[in-house]
Amino acid sequence: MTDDDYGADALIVCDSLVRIYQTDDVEVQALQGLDLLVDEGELVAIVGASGSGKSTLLGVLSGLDAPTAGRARVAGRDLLAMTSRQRLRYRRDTVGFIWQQTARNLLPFLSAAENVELPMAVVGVRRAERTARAMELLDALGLAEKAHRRPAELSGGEQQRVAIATALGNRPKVLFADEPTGELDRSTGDEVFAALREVNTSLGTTVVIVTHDAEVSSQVRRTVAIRDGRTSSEVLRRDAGGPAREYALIDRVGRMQVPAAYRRALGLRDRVRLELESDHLGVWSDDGEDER
Amino acid sequence: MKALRFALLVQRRLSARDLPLLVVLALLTTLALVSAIGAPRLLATTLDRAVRQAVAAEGADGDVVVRSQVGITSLGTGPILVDPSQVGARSRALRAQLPPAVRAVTDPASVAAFGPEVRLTFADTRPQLQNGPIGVRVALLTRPDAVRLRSGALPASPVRSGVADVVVSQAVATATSLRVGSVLDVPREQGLRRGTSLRLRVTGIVDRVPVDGPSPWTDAGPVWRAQENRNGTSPPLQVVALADAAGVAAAAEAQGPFTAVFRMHVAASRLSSASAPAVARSVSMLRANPDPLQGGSGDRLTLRSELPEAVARAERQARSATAQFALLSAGVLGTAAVAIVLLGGLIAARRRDETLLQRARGAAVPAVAAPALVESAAVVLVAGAVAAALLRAPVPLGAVLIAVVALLATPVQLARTAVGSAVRRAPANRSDRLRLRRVRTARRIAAEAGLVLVAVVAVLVLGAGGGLSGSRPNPLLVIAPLLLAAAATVVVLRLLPPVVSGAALLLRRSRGVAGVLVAARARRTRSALALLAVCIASGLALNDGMLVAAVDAGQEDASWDRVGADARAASAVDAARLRAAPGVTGAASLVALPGTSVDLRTTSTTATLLAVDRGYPAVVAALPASSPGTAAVLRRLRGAGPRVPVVVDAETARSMVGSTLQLQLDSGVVPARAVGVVPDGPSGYRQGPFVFVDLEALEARAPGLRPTTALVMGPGAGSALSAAGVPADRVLTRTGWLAAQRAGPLVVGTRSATLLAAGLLGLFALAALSAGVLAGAPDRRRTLGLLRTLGMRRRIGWWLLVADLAPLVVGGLAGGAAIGVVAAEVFDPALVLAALTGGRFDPPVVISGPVLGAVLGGAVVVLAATVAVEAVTWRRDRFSEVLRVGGQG
Repeated sequence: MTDDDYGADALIVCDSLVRIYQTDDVEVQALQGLDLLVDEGELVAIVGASGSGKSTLLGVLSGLDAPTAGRARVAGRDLLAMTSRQRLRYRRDTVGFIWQQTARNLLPFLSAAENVELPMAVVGVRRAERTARAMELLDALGLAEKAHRRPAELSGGEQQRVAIATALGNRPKVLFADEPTGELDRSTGDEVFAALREVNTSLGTTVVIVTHDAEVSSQVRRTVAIRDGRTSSEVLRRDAGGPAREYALIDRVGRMQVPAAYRRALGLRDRVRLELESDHLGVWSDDGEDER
Repeated sequence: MKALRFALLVQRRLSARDLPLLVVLALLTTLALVSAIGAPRLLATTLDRAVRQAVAAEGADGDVVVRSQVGITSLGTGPILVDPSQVGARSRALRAQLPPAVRAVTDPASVAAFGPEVRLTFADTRPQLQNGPIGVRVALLTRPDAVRLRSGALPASPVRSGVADVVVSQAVATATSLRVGSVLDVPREQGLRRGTSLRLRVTGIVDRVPVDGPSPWTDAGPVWRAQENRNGTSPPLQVVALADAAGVAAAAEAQGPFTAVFRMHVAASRLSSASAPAVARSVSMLRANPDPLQGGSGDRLTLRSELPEAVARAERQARSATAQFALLSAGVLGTAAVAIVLLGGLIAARRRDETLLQRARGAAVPAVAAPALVESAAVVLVAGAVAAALLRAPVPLGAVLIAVVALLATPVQLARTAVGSAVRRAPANRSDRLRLRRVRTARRIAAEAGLVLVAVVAVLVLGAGGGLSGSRPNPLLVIAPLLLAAAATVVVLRLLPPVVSGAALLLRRSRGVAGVLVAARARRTRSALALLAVCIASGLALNDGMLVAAVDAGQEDASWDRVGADARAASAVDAARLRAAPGVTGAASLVALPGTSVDLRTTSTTATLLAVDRGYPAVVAALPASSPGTAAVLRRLRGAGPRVPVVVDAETARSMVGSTLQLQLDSGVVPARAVGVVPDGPSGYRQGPFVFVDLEALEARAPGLRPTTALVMGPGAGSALSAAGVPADRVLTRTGWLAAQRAGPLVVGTRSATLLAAGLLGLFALAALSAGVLAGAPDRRRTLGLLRTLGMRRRIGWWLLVADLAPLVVGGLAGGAAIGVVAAEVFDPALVLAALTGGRFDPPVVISGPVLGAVLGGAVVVLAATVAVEAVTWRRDRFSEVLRVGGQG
């Protein structure tokens, strides 16, 4: 498989993605060669501990940040080769975004409907059209009756649902959500997740959610874990809420992260012994048998 | 268009939210515009008053006076004369020919036409004169409506008869014994032409009555009162007799052409500093060539007026005031501009989240900045309308610049935020990233060094005398202080970190958490703009104070120099009696003989000989600016010997070879011997060089000398001279001179402007500092909230504020002090302060304790007001809320 073939059919392709931040004399490598493929129509959760690089990844993919090296492509657009003008266009019509802070997603002095209209107004959609679209989206998210309320007059969950509607205004191909339930209680968070699932299933929008909450994997079919700026493992479910099967990911050069629980259970450390069988790969702890 | 409409909706809501800040911005802009428009207007008013005062002080010498000749033009080659009956018409024609600028500031001409004086004795008159010979001059009665007949009849001279009917005033009739019916035959030897005769018949006695328009008597001579004359060469009584046109024609035929004087009074109130130079130029040109006034009449004209000289003097003095105004305006408007930019930045900072959200939703930079531009335009329009309503005056460049700054302050900073949010790819290689950082650092250092270099060059150019080289102040005088302030800000910004680090080390050793907190916060990056505002404001306030103090001190020194004592009388007064008067500490009499020829053996010179009495050294010793030892040298005048002891000034001493000299007086040559040299004489009120001699010694050799001047020291000097019977118009007191000098339009205007500028500088500095403080308030609130959750008291917030403000204020004051000192050394000499002090030399501009105290006091007031602004914002804070939403309230 060549570099160009990698993820050729995927909507989102990250290949050895690197992002280095520089503050004064300090450099931080937030993404250290991350690989990720997301197909169109998927609902994916990206989980990881604080500082693992998940928000950086989302920033890069949503066009709010630029990668330092590697390859990143969303809906056929190369995020490393983009000019500022192209990136602006990309943010307008390809992606939508929801932040964790409910207050940060919406302009406090606009009503819910006006907030939803904002991205459409930016691209010059006619007033009647954007009003209809805004009402349609708010209706779909169960907020039609509160369309003329300002954010301060809405609950946190409602604000996040308005934020989802706002992000969907220009019919993006991908919706990115950074900790969308981080400020919400469990039940309200569930409502927001339900709304995101609804968007994914009924509108066919690909949804990528970043969260530090490992429990979220029960809400989605695919959960990708990030550790130290790289994807480490994936959990797949046939249905959201159904039984899960955990997978390890092998990167482009064959590296694989073995879950810590597995390593502890089998005493795998420093060096392991591999044995290639016809249908699987055997991994044994290095017990010094050869030396003996 | 659709997007713009929605963007304007968003902007309207934003504006409503930030209304208080927008109101403050509008007020600040209004104040800045009023300052920008008002300063040139105040300057123009000051200069107008100055030029009017200068022209008014010129009196009748400033009038435009045209002279021509009146008589009957003879056939042939004689000069063309104005017919006596056409004098009024000629006056109107002359005025019509004046350049419009001159005509606009002059009144209609007063006309006088008079002939040569003739001396008449007893034998020439019937009945005979009772009071001795008289000198009679025939003048044209130009306005019969200006006289009222007391007795007899008005002149009705027969044509071409050698007879002129005249009228005289009652006072003249009484003084000369002329009466109605008196006949005066002018003797032939009184300059009558061959073959002519002239008889004057007194037909009436008249009184004058007030008339509209210019007085016809200004140049007519002694019409209403006989002029007494004691010089022996002229008749003891000189009078004027008024004749009608036919009488003047008859007199002119016998005596030759009469002189016509057309005097056009210059109404100083109609002059302005803008129009006066053009008027002066026109008058100068007419003075050199009055032909344009001929208007085809052909009569020979001359024009005289001291107006150009008066205007030129006023212009020279105005340059100092203009330069000071320029310097003041630069400081005030520079600080105002920085304050407006800071306030705009505060508004932009409040909108940062909304800007970033709009950018994330795909809004382009213009889509963010354009609505803000509309908002700023509205603010500027409101401010401009208010300023225009308050001051109906032309809009100067400074006001345009302020409007542009106010227009762009918020949109540009919002655009910067929006552009800053744009994504830029960092190079993948560490070496490339390092190189990029080095390039950025090098660019910054180059820009800062370039700024400092440009400021130094500007200062050097001004220091080399480029301040007032032309008729207008060098524009560099306006730009240089701002460049200097910017350079000082850069230097202070670079010096602050090591200084603050040193202070932080000390603070960290203190007990408690305050030291650590203050040290940590004080090391954070400062706002360059707030520092710049403090630098400009404190630097120029310091310089303003120094200028005011220097002018005050210079006026005080000049008053001693110009008067020479507490009071000076141009009269002979008994010095001993003056010394005995209460409140008098010293008095001296002296005789000044200007233009005395002094033979120095190898060369000769002309000097002012000052014969001083024995009280003079004491008076000189009491003068504050007297050179040490001068009085002691002058006391050597008491010595005896064949040669009179004299003291010479340094200028005379330079021309001398030995110590002997000779004084050439009217009464003869007086041999003298120089017994000492003094640096200078009373150059403030007399022309040097000077030779001093003892009054008694000189009187012994040149009898008949009479003291011409009295100098009196002490608080009772004026009263003593008054008690001695010296008329008030011959006394000049130092306090009177000082009061007159300080009441001069330029002095009053400059002083008002300086005080106003100091107030405005403080106000704008307060606004700038407050904006800078409020910009850091959210972060302080967040820190304070955090510290309070750890159990600290609210007052720890004051320490945070101190930590944020102290480096800013201390650094700003240090930069300001540097600016003040450099300005005093470089800019102030270009201001030619002598024009405001009235002295002979520019006063030194030095830092004085009271000025420094006033500036520091002002800084404390500004600081207290800034802290109060912060305190007001704290009152609304609930720290749990601050922690929850991040202190953005």
